[in-house]
Amino acid sequence: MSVGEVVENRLKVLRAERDWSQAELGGRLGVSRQAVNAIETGKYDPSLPLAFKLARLFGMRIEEIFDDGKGRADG
Amino acid sequence: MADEDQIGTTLERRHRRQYWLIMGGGLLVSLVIGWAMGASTGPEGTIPAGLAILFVAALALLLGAGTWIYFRKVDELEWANNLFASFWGFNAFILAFPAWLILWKGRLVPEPDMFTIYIGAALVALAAYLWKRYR
Repeated sequence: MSVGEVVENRLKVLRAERDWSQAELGGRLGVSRQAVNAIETGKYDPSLPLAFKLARLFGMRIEEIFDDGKGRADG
Repeated sequence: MADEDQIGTTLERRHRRQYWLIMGGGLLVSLVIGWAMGASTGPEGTIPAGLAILFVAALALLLGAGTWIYFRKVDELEWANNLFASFWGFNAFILAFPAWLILWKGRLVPEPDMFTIYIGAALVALAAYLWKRYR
């Protein structure tokens, strides 16, 4: 991944489905509301540990939440 | 359960409160050191040697402990913002002195002033941080 490449995510939708505010999700993840906002708006890509935390919280796989638009490498 | 539904919000609020407490505490201690330095500066702009050592020790302790506490409390976005700001501040610092020196040797500007370069680099870092955080 180089600078400028965009990874899209479904965080806002998943959060809305649970009726959580950004602060609520941030608190559950151990990050700030600003961090959740930055991830949702694509201004910041989370670290791998945080992506795993997110996936675990939503009961999904990381690639079901984040999409770099390149599909599966082994497919 | 309402409490269970709001557990994240409560934790986030607590983290935010701790963040501003650290920032406020750091600012307060800095102001006290700055005031003490100003109060102990003589008419010729000098500070007694013992006090000078004491101030440097206090500054090193404040910066070291403050940075350690700060980075233990903030999240990875804040780390990234600080890394970005440090990158630009550091680059401004290492560019400013040689550039100013060369221009001075070309008799285009007055002699380089380290205090101006220091403040300038800090301002560049601050601007980079604010841009990254609030863009």
